[in-house]
Amino acid sequence: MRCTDFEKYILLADSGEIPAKRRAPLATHLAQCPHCRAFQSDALALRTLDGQARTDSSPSAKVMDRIMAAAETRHPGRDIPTPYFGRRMLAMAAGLSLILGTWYVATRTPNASPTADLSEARIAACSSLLAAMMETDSLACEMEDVTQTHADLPSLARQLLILQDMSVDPPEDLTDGATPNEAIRPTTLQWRSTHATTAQTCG
Amino acid sequence: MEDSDEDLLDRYKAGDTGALALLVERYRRQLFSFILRLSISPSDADEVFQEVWLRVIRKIDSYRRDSFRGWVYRITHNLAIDHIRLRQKTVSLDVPGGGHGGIWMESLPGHERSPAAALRGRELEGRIRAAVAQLPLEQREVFLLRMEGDVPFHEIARVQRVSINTALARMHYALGKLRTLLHEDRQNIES
Repeated sequence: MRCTDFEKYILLADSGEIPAKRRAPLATHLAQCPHCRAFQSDALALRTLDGQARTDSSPSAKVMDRIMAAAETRHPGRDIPTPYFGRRMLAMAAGLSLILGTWYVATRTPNASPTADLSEARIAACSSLLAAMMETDSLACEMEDVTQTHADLPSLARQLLILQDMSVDPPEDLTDGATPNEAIRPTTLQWRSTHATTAQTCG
Repeated sequence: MEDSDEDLLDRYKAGDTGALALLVERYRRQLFSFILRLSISPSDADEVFQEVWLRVIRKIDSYRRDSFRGWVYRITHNLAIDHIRLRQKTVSLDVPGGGHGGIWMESLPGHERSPAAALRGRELEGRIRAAVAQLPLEQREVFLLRMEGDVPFHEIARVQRVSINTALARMHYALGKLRTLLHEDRQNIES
């Protein structure tokens, strides 16, 4: 290697970046090269000189105040957290599906063929409506297995839609003398018996 | 044990504004001195210094946890260079003697030294500043990043978007010129 290469290693040694395998060759070279020793001592002397010439001035207090004001107002922790945002979006989506579901059920064609318009969308809309009713109905608190009941909702929705499309009134034992509209909002026990009865009927 | 720059930044991200205050204080003198010695006037240096920290605050989410020192000097470099280019339309910055820099540097408040030491220091400051101001901008910046900011060469290379060999070569040229220009002062130091 030439002296210019070693001078680069002198600079890298000063900044603590010299590769470990170059340390020993540099030390050996410095021991025998007065030119590189002079370069090293000049670099050190310039560092000392520059340290003495360093200005001790600071930015104005006004600037420091502005920076800290920006740090306060633009703090990243003050952004709306994602989970809260996610919950809000979920609530909006649930509300929208409830409205659409209600509208869809309310405007469906009466006396249609039992299977003609029994699309997945109708079943999903009806399920949403039932789920929303369950959430608001105080009787839902009495459910023994909420998860299972929720899982049964599409099946229940399908059966209700078939009954409604056929203009078949629910069996009297399910309505307890209530009007047909009230029968769509049964209690938990009524839902279960509806499900069981319809399953037997279809079975 | 003192918190690292990266720890302070994490604390600020977590909501501790005081951590950023500590970080600003840690870099206050060296960053401001670096900006000033790139031949930017004190009032403009105030502006650049403020913009550096506002940018740190704005870009904090894009900061990857490597070297904060390198990152903050990269931001400072970009803003200072933009500022210098803007100013170059009316003022030549590489004029020997530092152009407008020599005048305003004289008015900067000295550190707490004895009057004689302050005078000597001020004279020395003037000579070194004049010598550094004669360096081409790229070499001057490498010299100041290394001497003022204690920025390692691999970070200097990233700041200037050059290879580490180019950064080392620029430092080599800068030292060679300063050796000649400051020959007398160097001999005083050695004696």
